[in-house]
Amino acid sequence: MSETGTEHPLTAQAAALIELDRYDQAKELLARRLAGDPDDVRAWARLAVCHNHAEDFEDALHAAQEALRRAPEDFATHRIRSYALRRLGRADEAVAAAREAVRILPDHWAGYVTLSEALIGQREWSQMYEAAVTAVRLGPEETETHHGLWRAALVTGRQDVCDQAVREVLRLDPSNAWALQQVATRKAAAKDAKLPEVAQGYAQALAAAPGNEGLRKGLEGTLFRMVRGTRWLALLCLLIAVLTARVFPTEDDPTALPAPLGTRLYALVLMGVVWAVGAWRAYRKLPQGAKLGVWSLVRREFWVKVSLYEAVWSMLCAVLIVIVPWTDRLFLQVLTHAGWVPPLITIWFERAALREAR
Amino acid sequence: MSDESPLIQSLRTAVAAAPDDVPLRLHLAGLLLDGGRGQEAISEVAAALQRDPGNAEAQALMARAVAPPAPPAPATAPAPPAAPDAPGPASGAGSYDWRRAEGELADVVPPRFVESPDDPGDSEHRDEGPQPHKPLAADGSDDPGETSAWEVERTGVRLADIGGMDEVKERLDAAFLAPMRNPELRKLYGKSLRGGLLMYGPPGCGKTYIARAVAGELGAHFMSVSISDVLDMWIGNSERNMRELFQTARRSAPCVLFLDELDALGAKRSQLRHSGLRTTVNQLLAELDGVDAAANEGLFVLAATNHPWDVDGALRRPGRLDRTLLVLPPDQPAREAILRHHLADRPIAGVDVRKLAKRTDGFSGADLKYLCETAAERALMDSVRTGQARMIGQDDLLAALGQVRPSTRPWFDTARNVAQFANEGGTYDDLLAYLKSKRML
Repeated sequence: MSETGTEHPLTAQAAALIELDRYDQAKELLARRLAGDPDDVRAWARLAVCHNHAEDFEDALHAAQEALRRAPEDFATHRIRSYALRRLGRADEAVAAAREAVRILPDHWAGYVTLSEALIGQREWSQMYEAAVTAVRLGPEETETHHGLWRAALVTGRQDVCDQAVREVLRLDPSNAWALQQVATRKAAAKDAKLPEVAQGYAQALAAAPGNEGLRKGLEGTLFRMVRGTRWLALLCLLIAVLTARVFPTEDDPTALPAPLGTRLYALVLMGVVWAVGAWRAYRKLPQGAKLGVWSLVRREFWVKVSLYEAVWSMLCAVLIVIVPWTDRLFLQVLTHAGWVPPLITIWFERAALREAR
Repeated sequence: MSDESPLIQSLRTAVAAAPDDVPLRLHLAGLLLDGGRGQEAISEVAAALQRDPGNAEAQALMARAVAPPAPPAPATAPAPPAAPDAPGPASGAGSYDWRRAEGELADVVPPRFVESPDDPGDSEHRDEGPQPHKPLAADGSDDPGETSAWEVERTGVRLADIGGMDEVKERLDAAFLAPMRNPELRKLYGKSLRGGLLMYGPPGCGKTYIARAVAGELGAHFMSVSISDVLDMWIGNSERNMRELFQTARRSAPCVLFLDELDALGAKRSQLRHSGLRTTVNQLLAELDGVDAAANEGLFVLAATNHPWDVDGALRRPGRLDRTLLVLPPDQPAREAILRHHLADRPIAGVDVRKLAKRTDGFSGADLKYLCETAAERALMDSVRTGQARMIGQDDLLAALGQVRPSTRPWFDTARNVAQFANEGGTYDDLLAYLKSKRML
């Protein structure tokens, strides 16, 4: 109760319900409260918050204006009004409302966060950035200020500031879902990104925000890339088999078939090393949830299944080439072509489709 | 993945294959934005800007897409909390609120023909009937100190009254009821009665009803406390009222104290900005521990939540709500029983309930009730149109089946991620096993 001072119980209850994401229940209480006392400024302002959450911005604006009619200097209500105006596309008025909030409490970070957000509608990037920096200066221990700075830095191309803002949010709140998502996205965007690490980043973020479908898709995209990568491993093994089994002999090499058993066994060992280094190690590095995700993806998604089957097929051809002591080179060559053609055709089509999509 | 347009799906695949292709990513972001999926669009634009800082098209898209956190609910202090309706560090990445949407749609559900007091399928709604008295009226006019506050009731419901769900009953029996029923064995093995049971699962699957049945099995009194009671307590004196709640339950021992919507009552304190709510959670922890070892003897605390991942970890430590029970959508026999129940007082002809039960895998009790109501509505409208009353037939139910989708799906989408990525200490092993068995992973 101490936080709410002399607030009416219904208005105070509504605040708690809003905190618990129960906006509809809060709205009901506020409607009851306002029916009894239409001069409750806090109730109007909270009703505006509920409307904003429901994306009823006209209603939110109306409620905020009702609150401001009774308390023109209410800091929080100006912020709420600014948000509703911005979402209604009334950028200039949104900025004016945010500036009003800043005027009322010039030393409070929240007003500058609102101003920074409002300025995005006017595409005033530099002013937006300045407001965000001021917000961080006034509220360095608030995650919202760093989030605002991240946004401003993003649109102004200040990647270093973006990274710093994300680090600050994680310092303040190590399990912050948004920041973890940014870390995962950043890892995924890095040129030298290792897919298991990217997958791990997504998995960590998903643990903090299990309802985030975007993260899920990011993870599945990463796992899909890993599965598709196995085709190249299989093709490499096929190449090893072709070279060691004398499928296409050159003048300098011995041509007699079958190739010596030792050479063929050596090829098998090399193949094992390729898979151990290229796939098994990466798979082992994946978090348990991502490992489950790989098999889930294989079961659910047609193209993932196709990629995996192609890798298996190429590998099967490679193994057959080296373990059977073939004496007829034609068989070997048929197996070789059967091994590389399907995956390479699919890869070619994938790339063509990508080019077309661009 | 499957509920989005093929174009977006193929673009996603393309972006996954070529993550550095900025124009492609922006194209996807534009489509997402047009489709009203601002959050995902922002993610894509952000990824594009990370690859190509200063890209004008990306900036413009960001200006369109960005939806910063709504301003906070105003408080007396000028540092109100941010509203969790937009992307932001405090709110996490937002997503469509299905539960809220369901709540909004509740008013347009067709009129009910039968309101049965013994509805095993929709117990979570029905059981709100005989609520205990609240310690303080919603308008704050009561004095909690002068009211005896909490109503204790007897339930006549037994586990046998629940159709199907044998697995849940068995696990409930093994984990909770057997030690309660055998005090001698309990003493012999030194088993304490301390600790409670947390039931979790998708909404509308009968957790509240099971709690009542547990009270019935134990021959114990039953007390229920929900979020509305919590808020009343907060307005008055949360600590005193919480203490009074537990004292009343202890005086009524043996008593089952049921904490409904534990994700609100015992929300993670780290995520609460409101000190009033944090105090409530602290007091709940203190009461669960009891003032001395024997304080909570005969008091069985049961809790239910749809979001166990939002419950404060301290509440799940040994001696508190240390046992968990996954309450899943009803199995086939249970669905059959629920359907029979909902059709019992309706004019039906030629309805193959078994066939319907087979085809409603994943439906909650509430969904099944809605299915029957939709079928009844169809028959009613037909009767009105033709001027000739007719029975509800299999066709009506099958047509309704084409319209009604299991409401548990969004829950499983989230729960799947929790079971996969936040299953610390095997907390969600049972959920994981279920998801695997249903090929939902």
